[in-house]
Amino acid sequence: MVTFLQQIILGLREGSLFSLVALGLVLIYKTSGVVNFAYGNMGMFAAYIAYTVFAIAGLPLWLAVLTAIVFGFFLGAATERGLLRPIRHLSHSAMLILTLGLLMILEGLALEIWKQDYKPFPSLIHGRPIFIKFPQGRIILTRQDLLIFGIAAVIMLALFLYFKFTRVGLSVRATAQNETAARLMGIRVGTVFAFSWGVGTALSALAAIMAAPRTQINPNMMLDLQIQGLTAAVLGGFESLPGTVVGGLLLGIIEQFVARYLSEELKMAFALLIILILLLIKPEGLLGRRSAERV
Amino acid sequence: MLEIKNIEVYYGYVKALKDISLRVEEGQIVSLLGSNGAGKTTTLKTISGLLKPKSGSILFHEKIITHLDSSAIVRMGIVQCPEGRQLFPDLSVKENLLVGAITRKNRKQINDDLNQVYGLFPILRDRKNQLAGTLSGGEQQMLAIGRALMAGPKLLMLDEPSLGLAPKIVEQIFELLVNLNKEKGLTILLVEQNANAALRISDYAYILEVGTLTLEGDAKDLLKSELVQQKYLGA
Repeated sequence: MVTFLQQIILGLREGSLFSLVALGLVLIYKTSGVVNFAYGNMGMFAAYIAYTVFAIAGLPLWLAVLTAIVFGFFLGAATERGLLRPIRHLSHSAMLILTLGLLMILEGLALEIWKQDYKPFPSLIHGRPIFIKFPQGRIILTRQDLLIFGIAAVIMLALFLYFKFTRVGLSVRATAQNETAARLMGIRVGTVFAFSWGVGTALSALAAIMAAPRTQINPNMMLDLQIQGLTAAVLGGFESLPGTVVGGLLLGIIEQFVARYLSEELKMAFALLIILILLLIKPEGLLGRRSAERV
Repeated sequence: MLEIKNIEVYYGYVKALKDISLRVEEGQIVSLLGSNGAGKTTTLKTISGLLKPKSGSILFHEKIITHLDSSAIVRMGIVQCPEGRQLFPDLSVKENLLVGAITRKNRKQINDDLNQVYGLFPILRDRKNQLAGTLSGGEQQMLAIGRALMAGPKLLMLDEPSLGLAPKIVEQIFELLVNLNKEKGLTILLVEQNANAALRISDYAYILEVGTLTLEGDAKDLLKSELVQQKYLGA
C-alpha cells in the first residue's frame, strides 16, 4: 500500500510537467485549430536562449528565464502571424505540415548555432531535497520538483481565471467556439490566434526550462515531453484546461506504474499506446464530452 | 446610409453575385428576398467583410468600406445577426451578450445595454447563467438578436431570423424589429425567405435570383405585385 502511494507521488511529480506542456498545446489547438508539432522544439529553442543569456552572457538566472519566456511568446506569435496565417485558407493539413517542417528547422538551427554538446542548466531553486519517509523506504523530492508542481498549479489557476474573467479571455473562448461568429462580433480573430500561440509557446519555453536541469539543453530535449504532452492532452479530451491538467497528472501516474511494475523502457511506448487506444474507443478523451468538430 | 455599387463576388471560380447594387436609407427597414442559393447570405457576408468583392464598392455614410476587415466594419456600426444564429454554445447567455459588446469600451454603457436587452427578452435574464447551447430555438434567436444589439449597431443586418421557428415566435421577433426601428430609429437590412412577413414590415425591398437583382421597389407595391405574389408569396 505504501509503495502504491509512493508511486502516485512520483507520478504526480512527472505529471505536473506533462500538464504544463499539454496546457500550451491545448490552448493553441483550441483557438487556432492546429496541433502544433513544433511546440516542444519551440520551447527547446527558448531554453537555448535562456542558456545563452545565463551561461554565455553571464546575466542573472531569473533574467535568463524571463528572456526565454518572452522570447517564447514572440516566437509563437510570430510563427502564427508570419507562417500560419498566410496558409490558413489552404487547408488544415497544410498547417500541420508547416509545423512539422518548423520542428525540423528549429532542431537543425539549434545544432548549427549551439553545436552538438549538451548544455547544463541549473535548477531554478536549490536547497535540501524533501524526504518523505515511509516504513519501507522514502521518496526524495527535489525543490525543483516541488517548484514544477507549484508553477503548474499556479499557471493553471491563472489561465483559468484569465480566460474566465477578462475581455481578452472571452475573445479567445468565443473564437475557439465559433470563428465566423467571433469575426461578426468584431473580434480581431488574427490577434486572438497570435496571442494564444504566444501564450502557448511561452508555456513550452517554461516547461523546457523546468526540464532542463534533468535533460540538459539539447536539440532533442523536448522530444519525449512533446509526445507525453500530446498524450496528456488526448487523455484530457483536448478540450478544457482543467481536463488537460488532470490528463497530465494521470499520465504521470500511469507511466510511473508501468515503469515500476512492467519495465522502465516501456513507459514511453505506453504513452503512444494510450493515445492509440483512446482514439479508437473514446476519442473525446477520458474527461471530454462528445461535441461538434471545430473546423 | 449603406450603398452597394455594382459588386461582383466569387467563391473560387464561381460567380455568386453579379453586378449587385442596392441602397439602405437611414431609418428604413429594407428586405432582401429570394429563394435558397440566390445570394442573400453572400451579400450580407460581403457587407460584413467576411467576403471581398472582386469589383464594385460598398459605402457606409459615404465612406468606402470595401477594403475594411470585419472588426473595423462592426466598429463602424454595421452588425450582422447571422443565419443559423451562430451562437457560442459553450458560453453562458450573459457571456454571449458580452461578446456582442466586445468592440466597446464604456463599461457603464455596456451594462445599460445589457439591461435593455434583458428588458426586451426577459427570458434571457432568467437564463443568463445557462449555456447558450441549451436554449430552445426561439430563445437562441432572441439571444442572437440581443448579442447583435449589444454591439451598438447603426445598421442591423439579420439573416433569416425566422428560420426554423414557430409562427408565433416569428411574429414576436418581427414585432420587435418594427419596434426597434420605430422607437430607436434602428436601420435594418433583413434577409428572408419568408417574403410575406418581411414585406409587411419593410419600407423597401430587393429580390435576388441566382446572384442577380431582378426586382426592387416599395414593399407595399411588391406585396401587391402579381409577379411577386406568384413567385414568392405562393398565392
